[in-house]
Amino acid sequence: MDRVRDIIIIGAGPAGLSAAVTASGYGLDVLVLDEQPSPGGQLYRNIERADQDTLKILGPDYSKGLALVEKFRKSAAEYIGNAIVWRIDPGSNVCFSTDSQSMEISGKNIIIAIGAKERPVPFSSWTLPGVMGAGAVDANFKSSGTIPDGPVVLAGSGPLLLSVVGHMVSLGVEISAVLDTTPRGNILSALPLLPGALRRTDYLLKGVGMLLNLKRSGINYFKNITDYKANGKDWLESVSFKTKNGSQHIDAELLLVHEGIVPRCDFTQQIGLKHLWDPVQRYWYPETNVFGGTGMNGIYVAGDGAFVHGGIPATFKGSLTALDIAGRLNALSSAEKTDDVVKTVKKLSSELAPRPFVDALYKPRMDLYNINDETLVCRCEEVTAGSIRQAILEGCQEPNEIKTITRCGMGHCQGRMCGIALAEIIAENLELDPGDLRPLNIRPPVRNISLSELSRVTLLEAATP
Amino acid sequence: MEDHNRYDVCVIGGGLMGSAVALGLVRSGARVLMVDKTNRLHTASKANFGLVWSQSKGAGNRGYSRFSEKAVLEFTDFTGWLEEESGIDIELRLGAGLILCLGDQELSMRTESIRKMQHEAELHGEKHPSQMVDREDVQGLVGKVALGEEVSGGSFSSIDGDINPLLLLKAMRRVFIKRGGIFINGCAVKGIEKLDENYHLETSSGKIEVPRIVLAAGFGNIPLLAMMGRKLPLVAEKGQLLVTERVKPFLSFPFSSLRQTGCGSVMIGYTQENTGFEIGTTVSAAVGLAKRAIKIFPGLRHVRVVRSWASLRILTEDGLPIYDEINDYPDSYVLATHSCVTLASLHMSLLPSWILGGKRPDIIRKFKLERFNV
Repeated sequence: MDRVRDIIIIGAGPAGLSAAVTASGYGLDVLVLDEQPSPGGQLYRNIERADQDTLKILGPDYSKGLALVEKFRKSAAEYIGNAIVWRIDPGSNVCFSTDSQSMEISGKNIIIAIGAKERPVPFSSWTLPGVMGAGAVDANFKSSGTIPDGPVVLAGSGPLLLSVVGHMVSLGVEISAVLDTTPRGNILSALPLLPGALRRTDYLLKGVGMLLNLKRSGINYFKNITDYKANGKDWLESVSFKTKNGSQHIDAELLLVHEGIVPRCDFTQQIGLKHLWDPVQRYWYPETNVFGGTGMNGIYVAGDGAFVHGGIPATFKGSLTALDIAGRLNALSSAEKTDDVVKTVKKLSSELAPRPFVDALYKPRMDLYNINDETLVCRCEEVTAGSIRQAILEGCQEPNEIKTITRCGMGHCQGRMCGIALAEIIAENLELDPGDLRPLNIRPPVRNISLSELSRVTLLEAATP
Repeated sequence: MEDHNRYDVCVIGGGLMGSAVALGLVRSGARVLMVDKTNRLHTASKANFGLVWSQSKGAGNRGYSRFSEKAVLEFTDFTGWLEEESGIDIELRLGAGLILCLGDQELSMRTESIRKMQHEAELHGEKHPSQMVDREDVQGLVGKVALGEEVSGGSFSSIDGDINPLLLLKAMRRVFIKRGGIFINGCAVKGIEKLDENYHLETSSGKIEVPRIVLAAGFGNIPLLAMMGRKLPLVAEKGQLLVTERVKPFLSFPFSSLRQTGCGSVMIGYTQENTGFEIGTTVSAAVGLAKRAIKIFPGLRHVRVVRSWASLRILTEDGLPIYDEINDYPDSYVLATHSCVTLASLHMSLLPSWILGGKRPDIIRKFKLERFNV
C-alpha cells in the first residue's frame, strides 16, 4: 500500500464518499479509511447488503445511498474498512489500526468526514441497562436486522426521533409511548423562518407526514412533557415524566432517547482546531470555510462533522471540499472549478433552505441540562453533577480545569459523552455562554489501542528510542 | 469588583507552588489573596507524574538533595493534616520508590550517580537514603509480576513514593479557602507597580492594592518579572506521558517512569525534550514509551492506552529552585521550581514566615536568583 497520498478521507458516509468520488474523478489519488466494514456511514450503513424489505422499511432516505455507494465503488478511490483512525497530526499524518496492526501514513490533504452523533444528555438513571440512544436502534437494524423487544418508550425531540418511531411502527415493535419534549414555544420562534423553508415544500410535507402517521398509528403520544427519567434496579422497569396534568409512569423494557444531533469533534478537537458554539442547536463545531477548509493547511472537515445539515447536504459539502483540493493540486482549471463550485453551492443552498426553520422548531429545550446533583454526568469516571458544581464553587471556571479537579471527561471516552453537558453546567452556574468556554482537550490515541500495538506502529520515519 | 485592598499578601499563581505557599501563609494568620489566570497552555501542576521523590535530586549539590529529603520526610505529616482538613484522600504512598534500569549501560550510569550522591552526603557527615539494587532485588520488590529480560536493577529509596497530584492541588486549594483565603480564578495580572507602601496590580479582575506579592506562576513568572524590569532564566523541558485503562492492582509502589495510580490506570513516562514552549505529543515518542513499558513488564502488552499528553517542566539552568526577594522591590518574592509536588510540604511550612518579613531560612539560602547573573 502506498503510504503517501494526495487525499486521505476519514469516514465513508455521504460526505466522505462524495468527496472521494469527486476527487478521484479528477485523477487524484484518494484513500478512504472507514471504521465500518463497508461504505455508507451512519445514514447508509450496510446498504450494499440491504434486502428489499429493509429498503422498504427505511424508505428513500436510506435507499438514496445505493447510487452514491455504487459510484464510489466504481471510482478509483481506495477503500479500507474496519480501519480505526486514532491520531491525526497537523503535519498531515494519520495513524490507524486494522486487525490490531497500526500504521502511520501521510496525506497532502486530510478530509475529516466522521459525521455526527446523537447528543448525549444526562438524566436520572440514564446509565441503567435498557436505556439507549434512538439512533442506535436504527444502526443495529441496518447492520444486522436486529429488532428491539418491546414495550418501548421513546423520549426527546427532533426529526430523527419521529423517523425512528416510523421505522419501529413498520417493524411491528410494541411502543408504549412517545414522550415529546419539544417546547410549545418553539413553533412561535420558528414561524418567522417558515417562508425560507417554503422553498422546499417537499421536506416540510415529509415532516408533516411523519407527524400524521404518528397520530394515525394510535400510539400514546405525549407532547410538551418534561423531566423524564428511568426507573429500575438492575434493568429499566419504567419511565416517569411530567405533563401539565401531573406526573405519569409507564412500564417499559427499553427507553430510547433522542435529543438531537451534534457534530463528532473527536479529531478536530484532538488536533486543536478552533471550535465555535451554535446558540440555536447548542453544540460546538469546528470553524471552517465554505470548502470545509480549516485554519490548518491541508486539513478539511466535510459533512455533518463541520455543522449538522443532514445527509444530502453532506454530499454537496463533500464535493466542495474535493473541488477545493483538486483546484489547489491543479487537477482542474480555475474556470472549471468556479463553474462546478457555483453549481454545487446552488444545490446545497436549496437543500439548506428549510434548515433554519427546522433547527428553530427543534431547538433544544432550555432545561436540557437542568440535572439534579446525584445524576452522573461523566459515566467513565462516575462524576456527578453535584461534584462539578462543587468544583465551580471552589473556583474552577473552565471545562479542562474541572476535568483535572473532578476527573470529569478524563476516562476512556475523553469527554465525548459528557463534554457538552459539562460546558452547559458551567455556563449555567457562572451565567456565561457556553461559547465563552473552550471544549475539553482530546488526547491521542483518540481510540484506545494496546501497548503492544502502540509499540509496533509502522512509522513513516524510524522511531526514536 | 469587591474591595481587595484588605490583604497582607497576594500570591500570583494558583498551581501547586502558589497553593502550597498561600496555604502556609493563611495558616500563619495572614490575610491572603491568591489569583490564577488559568493559563491554558503551560499548567505544569495539572500534568504532573505525582512522584514524591528524593533519590535523583541534587547530584552535585548536597544542599538540594538534603532539601528534597527533608521535604519527603515531612510529607506524611503534611498530608495527614491536609487530608484531615480537606476531607480528601490524596492517595499518598511513601516508603518505596525505584528508578529502574534496562541493560548494563543504564545500570552503570545509575550506579555512578548514586555513588556520587552517597559520597556528597558523607562529606557532610550525612547519609543518602537510597542505594543500588540488582535484578533479583527488583523481582523481590515487585512480587510475582514478571519482569522483562532486560531489567538489570535500579536505585531504590525507602523514603520516596507518590501521590495523586490533582487531588493534592484540590485539597490545598480547598483548605486555603476554608481557612479564609480568597481565590480568584481567571484573574490575569497585567501590570505591577510599587507606589508608596503598596503594590498596585492591574488585573483582568480590576485593581488590587497589597503590601506584599509572591510570584508563583511557573512560566508565567517570566512576564511578571519583566513588568519589574527583571529577567528569569527558566528553561522548558517537555515530557510526554501515556496513560492506560484501569487494570487490577499489580504494582504497590512507584517507579520513576511507571506507576499505577489509585484508580488502577498505569502512567508511563516520560520523555525529556528540549523543544521550546510547544506541548505537542508525537507518535514516535509514544511508540518509544510503549516499548519501554513492555520491556519492563511484558504482561502490560495487552493493556490499552487511553491517553497521552505532554507538558513542560519548569527548569532553571542548574536544575535548582529559585526562592528569592526581588531586588529594588521590597516585600516581593519570586518562587520557581519543577519539583512542586515533592517540595509542597516545605513550601507550605518553610516559606511563609520569610515571606511575611521573617528571616530567610538557612536551608534555602543558596537558591537565589543572583546566581544566574541576570
